[in-house]
Amino acid sequence: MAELRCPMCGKPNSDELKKCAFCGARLKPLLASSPDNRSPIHPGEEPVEQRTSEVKRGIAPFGEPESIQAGDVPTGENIADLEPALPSWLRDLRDQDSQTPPAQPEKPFADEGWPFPTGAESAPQPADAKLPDWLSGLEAGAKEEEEVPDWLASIRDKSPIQPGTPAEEEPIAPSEGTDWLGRLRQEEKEKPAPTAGGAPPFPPESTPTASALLEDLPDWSSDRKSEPAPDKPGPIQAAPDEAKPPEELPTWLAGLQGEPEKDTAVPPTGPKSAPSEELPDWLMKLQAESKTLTPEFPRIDVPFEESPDWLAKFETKAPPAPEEPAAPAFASPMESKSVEEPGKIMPDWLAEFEEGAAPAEVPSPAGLEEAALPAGESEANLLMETPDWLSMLKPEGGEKKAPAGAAEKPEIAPVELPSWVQALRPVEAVMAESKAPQEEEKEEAAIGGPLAGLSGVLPLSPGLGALRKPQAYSTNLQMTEGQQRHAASLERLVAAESEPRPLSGQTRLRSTNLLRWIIALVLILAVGLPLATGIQTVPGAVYPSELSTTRGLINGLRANPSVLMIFDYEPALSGELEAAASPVIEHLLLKSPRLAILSTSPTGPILADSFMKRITTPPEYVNLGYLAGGPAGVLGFAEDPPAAATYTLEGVPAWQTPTLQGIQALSDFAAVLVLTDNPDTGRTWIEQAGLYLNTAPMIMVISAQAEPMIRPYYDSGQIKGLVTGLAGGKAYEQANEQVFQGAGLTRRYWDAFSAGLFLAEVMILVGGLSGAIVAWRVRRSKAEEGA
Amino acid sequence: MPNGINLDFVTAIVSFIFTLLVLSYLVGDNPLFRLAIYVFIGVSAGYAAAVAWHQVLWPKLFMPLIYGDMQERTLSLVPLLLGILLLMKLSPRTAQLGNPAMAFMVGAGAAVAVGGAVLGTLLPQTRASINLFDLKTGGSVSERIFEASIILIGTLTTLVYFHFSAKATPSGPQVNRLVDILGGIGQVFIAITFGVLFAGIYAAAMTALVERLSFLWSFIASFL
Repeated sequence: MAELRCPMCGKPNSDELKKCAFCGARLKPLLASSPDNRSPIHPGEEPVEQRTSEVKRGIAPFGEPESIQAGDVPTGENIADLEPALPSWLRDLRDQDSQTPPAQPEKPFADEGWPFPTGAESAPQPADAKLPDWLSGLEAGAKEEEEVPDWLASIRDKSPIQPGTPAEEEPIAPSEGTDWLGRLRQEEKEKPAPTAGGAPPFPPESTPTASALLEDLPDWSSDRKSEPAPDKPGPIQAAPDEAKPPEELPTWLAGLQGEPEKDTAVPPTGPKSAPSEELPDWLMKLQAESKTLTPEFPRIDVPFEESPDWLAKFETKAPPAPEEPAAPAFASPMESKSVEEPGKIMPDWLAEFEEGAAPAEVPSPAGLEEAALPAGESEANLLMETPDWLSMLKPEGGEKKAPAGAAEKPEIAPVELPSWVQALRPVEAVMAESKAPQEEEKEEAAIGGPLAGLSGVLPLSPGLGALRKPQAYSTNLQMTEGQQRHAASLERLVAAESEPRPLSGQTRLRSTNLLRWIIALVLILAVGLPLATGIQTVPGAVYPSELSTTRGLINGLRANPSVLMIFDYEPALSGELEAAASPVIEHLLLKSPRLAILSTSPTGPILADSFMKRITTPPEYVNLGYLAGGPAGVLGFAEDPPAAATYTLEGVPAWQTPTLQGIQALSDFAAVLVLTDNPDTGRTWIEQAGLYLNTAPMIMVISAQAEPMIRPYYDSGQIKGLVTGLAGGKAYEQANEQVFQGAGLTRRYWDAFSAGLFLAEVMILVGGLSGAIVAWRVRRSKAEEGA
Repeated sequence: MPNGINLDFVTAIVSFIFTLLVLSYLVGDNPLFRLAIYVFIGVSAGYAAAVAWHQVLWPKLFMPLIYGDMQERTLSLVPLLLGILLLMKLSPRTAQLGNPAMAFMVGAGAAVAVGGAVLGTLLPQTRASINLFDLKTGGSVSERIFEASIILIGTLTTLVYFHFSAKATPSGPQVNRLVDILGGIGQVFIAITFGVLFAGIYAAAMTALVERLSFLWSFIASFL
């Protein structure tokens, strides 16, 4: 998608947008409707030569051939019906006019082709002495007037038109009060033709009604009228071309232009009368309406003379120009006057410019502004309908455009603007936006107040232009196909997670419970029967490799050795540990050892007492109780046993007892026997206390579940003897059969234990086979289904 | 103990009842089993608290603090202070005050554990694995080599099994073929180890069952 940069803020916009999304300025100028300037000019492009004479409404009043030229004799009209409505002072004024001699033939302003009188020309004449008191007072007061409010300026633009219209001035000029106007007209007539090309001055017979009428026509008619504008002469050279426009214009429109001539008392000229005959009826009616309004112009003129001082000043400075187009017949008196005499609506700065400034062809923003104007819009109309700030811009173009048009060129000379200027066109954008509401407001005139009868003076809406509705943007999320596919996948995943999953069947749970009961029953029977019956049919255990080593350690102890026994097993496994440790302790007791009992488990001391009580010949021992601190406590005990375990379980100093006399370090013990069911506990003793044993052997009686973790320490030599579980105890008991004589605890358990192991092996085998069969069936059924 | 009541008899009755309550788990989780569990937990906790007071706090903290000399009292203030700070962990508001004591405990425990593991397990076990190839230690050469090779292969392949690095390829992460094979062998050794552990646990449990059934039968037989 191409981007179009905003001429106002410079931000990129989509070329589909008509207005900037950031500042609201129009991206595509309304000038695009012009037939010769439809494509926008972008920066860098070569500027296109543009005929500013195509500006419709800006030039039309000056160049319309239908306009009544200076010197035209106003047509007589029956205004008897309106006589009662006129105020008394106006009737008096008319009486004075009737007494004045006929107006002198007006002379158009030939100075530089400028239709407006210069300051010197418009200076009041000494004939002011003949003016009535009220008028002289106005003129005197007008000289002192300096500042005029804007709204009055707009009125002033329209009010002083009456003296300028030839049809109106004819009866007024001879009057004593307006003889200065007559002199001005006479001076104008005496001056040479303003057009350099030898174009004759505006004929005084020309009436301004047609041009004024065209201003009030809708745009389509204005456009139609402005189409031949480039071929027409300049606005001030309208006189020689008066015969042509009726041929180029539609008949009805030509009739509109020629009809005011009928309304005036002056007989129409040949070229004008011809198209007027071809006018349609409805247009003839319009002309008739304008005819009725035309005679009122002189009457309305008088109140303007009585109007504020600025009006008198204006009149003295701006006498009517003969080459100016006449006021439109259909327009209101105020509007027609403003159109007829743009020189009168000029502000002071423009009048000063007229005095000294020569026409320049230098392109200016005003010229650019005119180029941006739609064809058919007259300059006077813009001054009349546009805001003040816009009217301030307008005269610059006017003062430079009019002389050129009056001299040789029928139109304003095309200017070559830099491309960046044409691309930016800030004025154009503003006017393009302000044009639409102005056209709408043009139809609405103020009803009351000082602006009564005026239209377009005040904007209907605050601000520069009409309030624009903010650009509407779509709130729909734009997603690509891939994003939509991913979103759909995510939605499916979420939906699948939220779906409830059926629970497994209850039958499977029942079968599990039944199987568990069956297994439990079989185990109880297998284990209980040997115990109940006392059958000892299972042969002895196999001697493990560590058995002989362990027995050798115990046999190698000197008599009455000090042995430290660690009871670190839980009550749940006390049956196994007691069964495994009984043969070893029984064997040890043969040496009449001095036993010290210690435990890192809180239940260890009480289990130790319980165990020692079951021994056939209980020895004397010192129960050091519970050793707190885990590995740190073991390490502390290994470093300093008396400090770590000061008191016995009964609370007496342990190291002062005869059993532990002479023992100050861990290495002072002849052997350390550790009974544990936890591999971590056994490792802790190996790691923390093994380095402090020196030559004292560490023998471990462990549970069968701890064997895989403790045996490597035996293989590495960190522990010297090892008895594992019931099997190890049974083997140790078997090895010392002479001592125990077959009455040992392990022997009593051994058959039941063997039966339980055998049953477990059978169950593992049966379970494995059943699982294999089930898996085979499943694969077979799947294979059959696949086949 | 009052006359006429044998403590061993009471103990035997209680043991018998609670043994049956625990065995009731065969029919599933039931209140009897829960009752036995709750009693065991309560008794164990109470016994542990009594042991901690009688064998740790009183003899090692309060006795030196009360009856000890100035040095013992001063030294006893350190564990007392750390203990009090550790009790601050009970309240969320004062939990941060227990951080120093907790940090001391964790730090000391970690230092002891790491030191013991390095000096008592890692280095000795490494040395033992190397010494397996020492043919002078005794036994036949073939047996020593076979045993040492099994240990070596088992150790290496087990370590390789826990090597999870893979090479990034367009088709996805790809493990080296040799590593994959060695990891599979290590998986076999790990499976054997777990089997041995299960056998040891089963043997221990079976021994416990035998002992309990023997007790039950003995208790019942005492009344027959």
